[in-house]
Amino acid sequence: MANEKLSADVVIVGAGICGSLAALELARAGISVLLLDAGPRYDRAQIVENWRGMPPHNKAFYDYATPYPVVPWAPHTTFFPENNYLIVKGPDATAYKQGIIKGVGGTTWHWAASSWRYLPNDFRLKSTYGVGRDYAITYDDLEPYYYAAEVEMGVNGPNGMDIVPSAPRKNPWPMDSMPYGYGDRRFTEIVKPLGYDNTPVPQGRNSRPYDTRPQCCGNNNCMPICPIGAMYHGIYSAQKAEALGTKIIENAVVYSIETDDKNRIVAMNYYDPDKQSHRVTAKTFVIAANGIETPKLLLLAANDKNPNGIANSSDQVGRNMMDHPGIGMSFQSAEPIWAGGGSVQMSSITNFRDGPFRSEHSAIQIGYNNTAQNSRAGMKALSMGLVGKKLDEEIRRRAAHGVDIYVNHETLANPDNRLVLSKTQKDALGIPHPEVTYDVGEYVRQAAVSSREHLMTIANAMGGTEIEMTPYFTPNNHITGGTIMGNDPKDSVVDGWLRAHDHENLFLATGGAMAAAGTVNSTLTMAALALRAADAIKRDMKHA
Amino acid sequence: MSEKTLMSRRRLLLNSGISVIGLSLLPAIASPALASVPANDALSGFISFSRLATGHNDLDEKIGSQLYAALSAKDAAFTDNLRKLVDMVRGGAHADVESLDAALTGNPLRDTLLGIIKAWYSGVVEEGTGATVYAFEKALMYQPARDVVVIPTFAFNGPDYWVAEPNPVSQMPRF
Ligand SMILES: Cc1cc2nc3c(=O)[nH]c(=O)nc-3n(C[C@H](O)[C@H](O)[C@H](O)COP(=O)(O)OP(=O)(O)OC[C@H]3O[C@@H](n4cnc5c(N)ncnc54)[C@H](O)[C@@H]3O)c2cc1C
Ligand code: SF4
Repeated sequence: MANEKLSADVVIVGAGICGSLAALELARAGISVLLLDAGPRYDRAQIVENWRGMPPHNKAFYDYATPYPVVPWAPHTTFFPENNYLIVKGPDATAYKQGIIKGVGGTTWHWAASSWRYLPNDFRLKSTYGVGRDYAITYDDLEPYYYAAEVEMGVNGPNGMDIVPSAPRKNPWPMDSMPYGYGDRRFTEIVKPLGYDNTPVPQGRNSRPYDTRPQCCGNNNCMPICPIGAMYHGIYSAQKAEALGTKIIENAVVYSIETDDKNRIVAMNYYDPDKQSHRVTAKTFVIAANGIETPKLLLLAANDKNPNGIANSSDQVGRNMMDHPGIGMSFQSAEPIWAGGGSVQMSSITNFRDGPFRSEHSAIQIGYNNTAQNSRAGMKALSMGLVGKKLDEEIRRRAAHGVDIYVNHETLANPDNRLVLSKTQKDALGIPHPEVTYDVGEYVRQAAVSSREHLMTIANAMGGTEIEMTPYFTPNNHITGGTIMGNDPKDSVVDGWLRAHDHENLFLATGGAMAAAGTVNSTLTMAALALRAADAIKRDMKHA
Repeated sequence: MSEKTLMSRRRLLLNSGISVIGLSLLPAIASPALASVPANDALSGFISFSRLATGHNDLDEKIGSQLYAALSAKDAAFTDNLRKLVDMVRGGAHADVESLDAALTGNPLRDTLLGIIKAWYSGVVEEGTGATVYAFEKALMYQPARDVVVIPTFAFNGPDYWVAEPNPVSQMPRF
């Protein structure tokens, strides 16, 4: 290692979906890239076996992190039991217990691949509804990058269906939607007369063989690991970039950033697992270390010229932390629904994604969770002390009738929702843990009243019994806002190309740039923004 | 490698049946009473009692040997209690688990019976997130809905199999 030249045209920190897509895009343009990731490389087959070897309790309660072993130099969040890596505080602390994975490929190793475009109004929330903030770009600015991301990831969607509201498209989805299983079919029929349009979720998984990867065959295990790679993960783009000459260094934890007298980034330094420090240089730097680790690193890397942290002259780094606070409900429906046919997230109700009500309260997404209920059914029936035929019948009945639904809420950017470096907790390398204070705010709380009514209406229409609803807000892992985008360097961290206002050759390619959370899963927007940043870097290089 | 990786590797070995740790531990952890009985007899006694306890004949003996070892290790009284249960069903005294269960109302031996059933159904002997997993695909709790609901990671057919109409809930598959 010591003899290797740790230098490239572009150094990218974080080999998740954003970093890997940017690396691939740059590598295709013949630009040399060094891609650093704090965590290890994962072997799919090993992760599948780790998951199979996990207790049924963990499976029943949706433990997605345990199959990915935590390494001491790059801890990520685990909740079974909770390792308190991410410290959460404030009135809605429960709603910020986010899942992240550290390792080449990043958190999309265990995502659900719901791959939505935001609506044009999501980009201009402030100018349309007078709340929250506007992006520094419009939907139209991002449209070509949305499509490029969809093609690269392999996104299937409801081509030919007229869904309102929908993001306008210039091209069809690269693949057509997969067919619903029985559960999504029945759910759609049942909620229709109530005025809810349950429509196909665009999914980053193959509804036909695509890009040398197989067609989804319904293992229903997308979270925490697709056993066959029919679902897209960041690792595929990392591997493609590597094949084009990108150098990937795993187990490389970036911790400091050097700047020159023009406040350009000159070098970054990373620790290896033995805490040996290595220096990397480049013309341009990208931090794509996700919505939590990116602001954390910027704060950690404060230097004499940037005493409040890198890229932080606005004091907005780590502020405006957003997600989609959720309310979950589970019940036994009167008729069999048989969740589990196909992927874990096939459809959702999108009537409330936009409308004038957004000047008062959150837009929402209501969804039907298509995760197989068999683990939960088995554990519950066993806890009832049944034996013999009654036990088998109870398990089958619960597997058929168990229903999980949810509402996810749009949040507004609020500078008081803030990530800081923990003063008390450090990891094995001595790097402070991230600490987030979170309050979902009145905008969400007001919407939640009607959200709970929506859920009850649906449960009643399905003849629900044993109805349980989370009394608190749940996290949804859509980590946005912490390095917020804007035109004014005084109150934002990056511009519309994800370039740091303070550092000409630094790009922050994560959901942190997103200025409004919208209602739908955010990663396709992050991916599109990362590709747009790569475009800016290509342009810089051409003109250099 | 971290401790955690190693642990999960070890757990995997156990789970995949490559290891015979479960079996080889058996004599060491067996109670004095059992020690006089050849281990294989004790094990086959456990398996045949398990057939009655679960109501299913097609039980995997390798899993059975691991469950037996784990149950004995967890509870010093397990082998004695099992012997008492075996005595209760000797000579066809109880045709099925329903009849045995009814006879055990108020009897602490019922916990042993439920413990054995739970082990075969859930594939674990301990509660909670640290439990060693002895069976997943073959854990009995995944079988009653096996014809309609996939055992996650074990897709049972090619793409789009899930569009088929599900079987009636009343139609219990054989297993
Ligand atoms: C269970 C679950 C389900 C999800 N489902 C969906 C879904 O259906 N749809 C959707 O849109 N989104 C979903 N998400 C969210 C999605 O996974 C994230 O939005 C996405 O992974 C973010 O991509 P990223 O590239 O910014 O970060 P990541 O994928 O987290 O990658 C960041 C990488 O940076 C590395 N890194 C961090 N710090 C450093 C450092 N100091 N030095 C070097 N490297 C570093 C990390 O190791 C990591 O590999 C889900 C998330 C979870 C947890
Ligand atoms: S349903 Fe299964 S095969 Fe399809 S993407 Fe999910 S895990 Fe992969």
